[in-house]
Amino acid sequence: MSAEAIVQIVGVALSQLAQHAPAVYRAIVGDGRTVEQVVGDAQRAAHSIPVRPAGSALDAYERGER
Amino acid sequence: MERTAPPVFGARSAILVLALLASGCGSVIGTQARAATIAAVATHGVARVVEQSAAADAAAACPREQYAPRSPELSACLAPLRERWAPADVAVASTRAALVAWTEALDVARLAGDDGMLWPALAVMAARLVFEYGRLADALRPLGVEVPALPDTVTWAAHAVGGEGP
Repeated sequence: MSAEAIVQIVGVALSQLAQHAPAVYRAIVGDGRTVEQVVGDAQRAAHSIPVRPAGSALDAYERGER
Repeated sequence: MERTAPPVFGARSAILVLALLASGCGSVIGTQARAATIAAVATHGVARVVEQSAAADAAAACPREQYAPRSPELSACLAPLRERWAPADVAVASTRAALVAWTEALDVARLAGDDGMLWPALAVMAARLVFEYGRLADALRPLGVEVPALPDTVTWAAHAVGGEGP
């Protein structure tokens, strides 16, 4: 297979991925951010997950806050 | 009549091609960090559903018309619900811990200079997250909460450099 054919196949794959799964496309191909920024974003996203969502919801209900 | 592959097949093929390219381009940390972000967003979404489902459960079992806020009766009514939902919180916390550990390891690898020595460890961390996410789905199924599967880009991160499940 020629290099041009490989480039063409990858191009088609990229365009399909961007069209059908843009989040995955950005995850793999990137969006211009540095590795430090991407890792920082991942850390913030992980820390933002609530620790006990059900317990907190029931606590809030018991206090009459929801 | 000629058959056309469904779009999902094209997307999966593209993921594999791009994953191979990425692994050869020395951007393993960036690729894994993006996968971790996707997993964190997915887990956060699941946690929100857990929160809303537990609140709805409380409203159905202990309606406001019958139970005053902060009353002993309401506390007693909520007790079995706390027991019912406790495994969900444990599973969310375990998944969160696996994600935090993975992203901390990614930061260490970044600071260490991304020389490839830590890639197997990163894959093990990713595999741990995939394992915990599976346990989260198992814990929530009896509670009527369906957990969506992780995208391929996350599960790939667990296997790209030799990682295996715990």
